[in-house]
Amino acid sequence: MKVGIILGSVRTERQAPHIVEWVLQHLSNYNDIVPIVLDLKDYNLPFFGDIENNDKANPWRIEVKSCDSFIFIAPEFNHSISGALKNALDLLDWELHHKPAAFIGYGLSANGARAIEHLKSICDSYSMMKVAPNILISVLEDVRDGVFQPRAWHLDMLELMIKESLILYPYSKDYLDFYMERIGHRVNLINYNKE
Amino acid sequence: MKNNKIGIIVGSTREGRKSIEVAEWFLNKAQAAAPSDISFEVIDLLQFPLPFFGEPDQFDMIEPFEETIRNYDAFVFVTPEYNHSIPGVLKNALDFAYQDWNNKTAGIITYGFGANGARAAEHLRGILGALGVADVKTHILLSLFDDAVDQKIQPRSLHDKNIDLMIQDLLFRLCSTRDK
Repeated sequence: MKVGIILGSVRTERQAPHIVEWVLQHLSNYNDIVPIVLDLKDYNLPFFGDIENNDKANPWRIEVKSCDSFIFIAPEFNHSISGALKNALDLLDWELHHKPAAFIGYGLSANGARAIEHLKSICDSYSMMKVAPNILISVLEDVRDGVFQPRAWHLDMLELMIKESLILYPYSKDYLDFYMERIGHRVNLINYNKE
Repeated sequence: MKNNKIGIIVGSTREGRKSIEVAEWFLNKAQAAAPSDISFEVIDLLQFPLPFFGEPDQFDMIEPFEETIRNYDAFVFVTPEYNHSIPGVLKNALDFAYQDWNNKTAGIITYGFGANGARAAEHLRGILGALGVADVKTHILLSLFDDAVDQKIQPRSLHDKNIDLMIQDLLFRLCSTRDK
């Protein structure tokens, strides 16, 4: 199972890279998981609906399409996810459909809980299979002297989150095969060859 | 209240967007319905090519945007629903000008198929809460099935009553901040 770890912020002083490192370290215990880090910062995405620059999003679409499931790492900006992440998702369609999604939020007091709630509702519109165990990281308590040191229970949640994704993955594949057989001609209309 | 201007925020920038049509519909209706000392102006996000929050400001647009927001005491947000929420471009703009949104009031107009933007408005209300914007109760929901003819926005007359109510709500909130 290829897991796309999506970093939901483009801010320079963001915590996400430290969280990614922690997740990657844990994922290396699984032989059947191939992680790939999808950092929004690397893609220089256009805003949705900017027809002139729409093709610039194709490398992003191709990478996301190649993943079998996702772990979102999202900070909370004003009770929701960042505009950059919402925009990156708006640029996608079938690349996300029916795939398992897990969520890691971080913040100062709500620890990203409201952002994750918004993100889950957004994932519904892609029929994604949402995993229930969330990781909500406190930037106050889980970061010591600038170093990310998650409290013990976060690791338990991470393990649960990965296990649930692994359980959902075969069902997700079945769904995708089912749909591709019937409306694959429509899905394949997305033209990636303009690069 | 510094002046009597209400800004109508056009919340999407997609080519062929309906938000500009909805904003113009509201502008005309509201100008006719509101007291003559209240004026409405359109604030189009397409005129403010902001970077993603946290990235370098390529077009030097952050300051002009903040200054624009500072100039208004009330807003009406016009937003479509993309994937159960507001467009990324609107969320991104809201994350800028933090101080300048604070302690103001706003109305919400959404549109869509089926849910008519109801879920986007719910997300927007949470975000406005974080920005200290007192959003009013009246919410106008346009249906792209029933309030459009030949893909042009043509809202049914039943929405006129809600425009009056929204203006009433906004003026009530404005009066309570007018002398501060």
